[in-house]
Amino acid sequence: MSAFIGIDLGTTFSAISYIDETGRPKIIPNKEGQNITPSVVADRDGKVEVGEYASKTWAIEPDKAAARFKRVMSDKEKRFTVGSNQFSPAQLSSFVLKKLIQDTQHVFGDIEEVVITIPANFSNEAREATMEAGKLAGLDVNFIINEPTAAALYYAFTKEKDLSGYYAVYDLGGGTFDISVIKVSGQDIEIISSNGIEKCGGDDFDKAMFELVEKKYLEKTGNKIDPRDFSMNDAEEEKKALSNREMTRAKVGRELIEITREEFIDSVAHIILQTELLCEKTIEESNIKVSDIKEVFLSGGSTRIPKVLESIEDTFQMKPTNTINVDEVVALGASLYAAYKGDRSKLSAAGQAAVEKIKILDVTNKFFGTLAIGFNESKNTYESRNSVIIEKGENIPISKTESFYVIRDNQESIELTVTESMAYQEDPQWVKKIWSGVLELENPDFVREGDEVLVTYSYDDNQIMNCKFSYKDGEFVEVDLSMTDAGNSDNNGDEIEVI
Amino acid sequence: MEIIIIVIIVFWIIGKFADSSESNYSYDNSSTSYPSNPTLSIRKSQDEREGRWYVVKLRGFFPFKVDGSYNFVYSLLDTTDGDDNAHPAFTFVPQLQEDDNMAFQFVNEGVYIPAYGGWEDYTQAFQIPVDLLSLAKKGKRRLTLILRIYPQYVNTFDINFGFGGESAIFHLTKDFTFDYQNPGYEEISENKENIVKYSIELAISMANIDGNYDNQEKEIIKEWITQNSKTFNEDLKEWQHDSELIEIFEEAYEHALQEIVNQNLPISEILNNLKQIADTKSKHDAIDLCYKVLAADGNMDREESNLIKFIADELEIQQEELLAMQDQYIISMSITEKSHTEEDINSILGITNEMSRGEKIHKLKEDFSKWNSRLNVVSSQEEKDNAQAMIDLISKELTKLR
Repeated sequence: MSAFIGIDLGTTFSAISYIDETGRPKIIPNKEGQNITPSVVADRDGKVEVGEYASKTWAIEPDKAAARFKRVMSDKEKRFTVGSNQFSPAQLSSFVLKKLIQDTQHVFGDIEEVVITIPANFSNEAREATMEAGKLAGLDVNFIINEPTAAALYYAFTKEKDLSGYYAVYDLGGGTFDISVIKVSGQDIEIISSNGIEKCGGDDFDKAMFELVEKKYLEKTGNKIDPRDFSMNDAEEEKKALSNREMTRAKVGRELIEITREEFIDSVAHIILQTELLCEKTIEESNIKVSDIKEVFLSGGSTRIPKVLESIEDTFQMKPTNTINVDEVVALGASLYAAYKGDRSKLSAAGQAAVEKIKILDVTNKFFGTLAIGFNESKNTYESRNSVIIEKGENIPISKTESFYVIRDNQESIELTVTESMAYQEDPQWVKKIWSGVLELENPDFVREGDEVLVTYSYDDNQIMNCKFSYKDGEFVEVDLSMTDAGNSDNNGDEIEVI
Repeated sequence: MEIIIIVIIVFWIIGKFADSSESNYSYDNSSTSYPSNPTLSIRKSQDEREGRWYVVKLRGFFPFKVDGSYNFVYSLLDTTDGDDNAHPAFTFVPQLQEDDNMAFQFVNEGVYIPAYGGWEDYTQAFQIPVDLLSLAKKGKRRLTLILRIYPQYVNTFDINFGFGGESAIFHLTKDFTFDYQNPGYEEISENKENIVKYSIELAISMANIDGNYDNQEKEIIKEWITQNSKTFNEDLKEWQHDSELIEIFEEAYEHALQEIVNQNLPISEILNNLKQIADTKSKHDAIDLCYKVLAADGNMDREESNLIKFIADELEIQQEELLAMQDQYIISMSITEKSHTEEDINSILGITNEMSRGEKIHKLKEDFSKWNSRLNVVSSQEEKDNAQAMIDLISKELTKLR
């Protein structure tokens, strides 16, 4: 039997799952026996080490280790120093993937299909970098899936009774926050709306705790904290301690710094508020009322924080559905997605029967447009404007065509741009240009102002967007933009051994 | 911000004219028994949902001896200063321009007219989008609409900037008045030097608000002077630096510097002068220069923010537009609670004491969505951090209000 693998490549922790012989998704522990592996890479004598030990190295010798690289996944120039090496976020992610596969391959053997998860609001560059990480790790990754979609899939699959109606998937992990409203009927899942905050998660709570301790320590001693005396890992421990207590005493060198739960809550209130605002926005975008939501499903370790649970209850006016394995649901959903998208004949009979029932209807989670010259009435002038072609929240697959016009006689070429943005946007400064090219016109002498240029964007359910720019005489430029394409990589992480 | 993407303009205009070309040029043979000379009528459209339009209608019978198809070419001249001193009317809409320039021209091609045929009743020919015209001068203007008719086989017209048209087989004109509210192109051209001078004075006032005029600010203003000292060389078809203009602006710059030292640069007076002569684009350009100067040190305090708001108010730039311009610079600034006072932050966020709690919450919620979506768009890590800092500031302010 070939394996269908799902990997949650998280900001702070990662996890791997597969579809077992009974057709159910199952987490595979790493060689340390843990279901989740810290997404931290450290140097150990020229080799790279991933996981728990690397995390400890990062806490006390940060120049020998790298963590939280997922937060800068879209930054192609960014390099992290790990010992004597410099690595890109994609390379570091590939080490985490290698570690997960190395530790667990004895359980599942050959890989048939592997799916990696990403936050809902990942930019195209970050998606590409994730696929590149898979490639560098030697994986043939054909699909990626948004984290809340994976979590939704898991919940819909594992519920004892069939779900029916609107549900929310609230995913607050170590680095990012995602919220999705889904509509479920049995195992038919329709993603209605998804939003995310790129930098909002457990790390930000840890940072808030660290800053509280740092401030009080400075007030008490007049000195700054020595990182050897109190690290971000220590701050995380104090944060966890406040989940069960009203007060904790952080040990910094020889000093004990008291932090109350109230002080901590005050310092993170604005972070929690950001999640509430995004939940409100997502419900609004879904054109439903809060009362239409039947259950709130949780994902991500930070959903264990009591104040977060309170906020969820306030926002959705109900207690979220109790789940033990909030750290694992994304990876579990990803392996189900691998089975759903892959060659099902390679699944066991039970697996085939289980996956057969699944149906996913996803939506675009960004606006896609092009740049054209438009008239700015307030400035009384023509300037470049973004014109949206595919809107956010459109059911996939979708194809849309818009007409544009040549602006002057004898024009020799037309500049082409494909843009993406999270909100409806006309100002080119606030859109991302994900592709640009030129349509050279063969007979400029015959080109007349006002000649039509048709722009067609087609987004299929494999997240490939075909963009065609065609001029009236059958001249056109066509490009396939894979929202999952790794592209060419000059990174080379293959030669480095991961332990 | 009222933006009309070109695609919309085109649909809109084609939509407006489509009706006229399909039905209005039908004719009635029997009407030849009621001969009357062709006349034009121009009336303001009552429907102002899509801007102001003047509806052009046509009636009467043409003295053409044979059946045929014709090109109806409409031009527009500003004849306020007399027919001998007429000025072209320009438009920004490519579909309503002459082939080689931006002068207004609308062509209705291949209109079939039977011998001595025409229209008994006024029939709509097309509509003039008056908001999209650019006239020579501001104020109440007399405009003359000229209809020239050519045989259909003539598709290159002897019309240049609305003048000429001697080879047309039929002419018809109609005057109408229109109150043009923007500074005219002649006025802008005449006043360009002064507009640039006043903009420089404003920028220097902005730079000096903290009592310190540093090199970065100086560089920005000098660079702006260089950019605004280019003139278009018709022969070479390219923009070139005009050394005379550079000299004039450099002088204005030195003069303004001296005046600021003498504490003799009254900002209200500069604004009043600028307002009289600048068009909307020039006003935007002046504010943009002030923002560039303001952002030079990567910081924005309440005084700077208040001054730029004052400038915008005086120049009648909407608060919404101003904040949109401000955002372009905020992304390159690090605005945090540590570096700014609460008053500074509220000023940057556009939160005023006059706003109700509900209005503040509404504004901050919108800003949160705006900056959160921008996080995915900006490319450099510095810009990402600055956008994140804005999100944190906004949510902290909201936390206080909730």
